[in-house]
Amino acid sequence: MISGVTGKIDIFMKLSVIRPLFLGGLVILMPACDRNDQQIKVYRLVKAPVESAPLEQAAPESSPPATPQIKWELPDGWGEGSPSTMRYASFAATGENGEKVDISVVTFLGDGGNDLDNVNRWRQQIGLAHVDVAELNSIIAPFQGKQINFLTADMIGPNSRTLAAWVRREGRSWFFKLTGPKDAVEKQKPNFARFLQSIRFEKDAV
Amino acid sequence: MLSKVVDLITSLKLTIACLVAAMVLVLAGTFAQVHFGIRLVQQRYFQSLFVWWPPEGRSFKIPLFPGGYLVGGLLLINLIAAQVRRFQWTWRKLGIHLIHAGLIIMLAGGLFTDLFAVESHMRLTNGEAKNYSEDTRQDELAAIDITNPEFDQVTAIPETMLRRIRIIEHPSLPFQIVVRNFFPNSRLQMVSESRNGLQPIANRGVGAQVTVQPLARATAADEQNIVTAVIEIIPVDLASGGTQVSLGRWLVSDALGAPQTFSWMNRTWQLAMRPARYYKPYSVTLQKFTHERYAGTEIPKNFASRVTLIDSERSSNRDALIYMNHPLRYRGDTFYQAGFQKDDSATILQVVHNPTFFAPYVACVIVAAGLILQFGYHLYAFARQRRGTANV
Repeated sequence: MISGVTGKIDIFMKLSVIRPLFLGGLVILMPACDRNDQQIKVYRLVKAPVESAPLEQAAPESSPPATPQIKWELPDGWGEGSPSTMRYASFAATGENGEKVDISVVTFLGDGGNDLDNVNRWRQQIGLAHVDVAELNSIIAPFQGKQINFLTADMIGPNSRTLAAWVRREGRSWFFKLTGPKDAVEKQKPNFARFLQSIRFEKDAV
Repeated sequence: MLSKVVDLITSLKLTIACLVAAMVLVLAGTFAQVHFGIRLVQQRYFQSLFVWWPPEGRSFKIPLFPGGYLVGGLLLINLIAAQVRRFQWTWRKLGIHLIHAGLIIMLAGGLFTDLFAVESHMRLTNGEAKNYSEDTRQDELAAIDITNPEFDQVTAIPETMLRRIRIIEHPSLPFQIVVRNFFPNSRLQMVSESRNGLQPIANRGVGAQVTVQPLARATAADEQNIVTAVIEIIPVDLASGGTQVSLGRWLVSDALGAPQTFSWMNRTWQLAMRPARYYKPYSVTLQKFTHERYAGTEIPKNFASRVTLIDSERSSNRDALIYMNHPLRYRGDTFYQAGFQKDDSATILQVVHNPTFFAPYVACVIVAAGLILQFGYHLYAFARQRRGTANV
C-alpha cells in the first residue's frame, strides 16, 4: 500500500521534470516551420567593387594545354544529355517506343590508351567477351568524315549495342560513342554517321 | 493515464520502434532518390513530420509514415525522458550515462544542423573576387534601389514567399509586388522563335518578347530549375496607403542574364530573379585553380583552389589552399572544394555555415569514453571475479 503511494509520488515528481522536456522538444521542433531564410531581407551594399587580391603571375609552363575548339552539327532528334565531369559533351536521343540512346564525347591528353584495351572495355560494358589483336583488326574499320578520318568499331551485345569512333590529333585523343538498345542504335546509326561527318576542328584554336 | 503516457515515452519499445522506423525511412528515402532526386527526398522524407501520399498536386493527402522530424524528435524525447526517469547516480553507471548523453548530443546536433546550417556555393573564375555565396536550391527576387551613388539597397524576397503569397508588401518598397504567375521550373523562348503558340505574359521589359513554357520540377542532383515569375508592380500612395495605377507586368527568371530596370518617383529600381545570396563581411579571390588528372584519362586526381581572403574589418589578408578534405574555415564558414566548370575556367566552392558543426565530434568522443568506461568496468569486475575463483 505504502509502496504504491510512493511509487505514484515518484512518477509525479519525475513528470514535473519530463513535462518541461516535452515542451522543450516541441519548442525545438517549432522553428522548423519558420526558418529565417523564409523572410524578406533588406540590406545595403556599398557600390565600390569587391576587394580583390592582385593576381600572382602564373608560371607559363604550369598552364595546361588548351582544349582545341571542336565544332559539329547535331542531327535532328538529338538533345542535350545528362552532363558529367568525365565528358566533354553529352547528347541523348529517344526512339519511337521511348528507348533512350546515349551519345558521349570524351577527350584525353595523350593517346587515351591502346585500341585493344579500349575496344575490350566497351565490349565488356555491353556483355561481350574480350578479343585478341587478330580479331581486333577485323572489328576496327576506318570512317571518313568531311575533315577528319576516324577509326570506328560496331559492337553488338545481347541487349545493347555500341558504336564508337575515335581520332588522335595534336597530342589529344577524342572518343565519340553511341550506346543504347539494339533497335534504337540501328535507327540512330545514320545520324551518328552524319554527326561524325560534321565534326571539324577550328584552326584558330584557343 | 499520465503514468501510462510516461511509461510509453520512456519505454525501450518506443526506442526500438523509432530505430526501426528510422531504418525503414532511410531505406525508403534512398530508393526514392532514384525518382525524386536528393533535394525533394530530403524535404519529403527527412525534413517533415510525416511522409505524405500522394506527394503533391491533389486536394487530399494521407500520412503514410512518420517523417524524419517525428522519428528523430520522438527518439530524442524518449532518450532524454528515459534518462531522467531512470537516472541513478552511481560510478558504476557513469559509462551508460555518458553513452546516453553522447547520443542525445548527436541527435540534437543533427536537428540543429538541419534547422540552422546553410549550404551555399561560391563560383569563381581565375582572378575573380566575391563577397557572397549563392544558394543552390533557393532563388530570391531582388528588388534593388540603385538611386544612391554610394550604396544599393537590396530587398530580397525568398522564392518560397513568391510561391505562397500573391501580394507582397514591405516597408522598404514603395510599391506592391503582385505575383501573377509562378513557375518552379520553366523554359523561356523568344516569341519569334516559339513554335508552340504561347504568348508572352509580361508586358514590360524583355519579358514582353518572351514566352514561358512550364516544366516539371527537376529532381536530379545535377539538374537546375529555371525559376520564373511574372510580377506586377503597383505603386502604393504613401499618404493614403491606397494603390495606384499599375506600372506593368515584368518577367523575372533565372534564365534572364541581366536585371531589368524601371523608374518610379525619381528612384531607379532593378528587378532580378537569382539564386539566393548570402553576403559575407570578407571577400575571396581565386588566385589559381589547378586540376590534375590521372595520366591518359579525364578522372580527377586532385583539384585545388588557391584563394586570397581579405577581411578589412579584421585587417586580415591571407592565402589558403582549398582541396579535397582540406577545407578553409573562417568566421563560422567552411569552404570545401566541391567542383569545377567543365573547361576548368572556374572553381566551385561549397560554403557551409553550421553553428553546431562540432556536435558530432563531441558526441563521438563522449560515446567512446562511455563505451570504454562501461566495458572497462565489466572487464575489471570479470577479472576480479576470476582471480577470486582461482584463489578458492
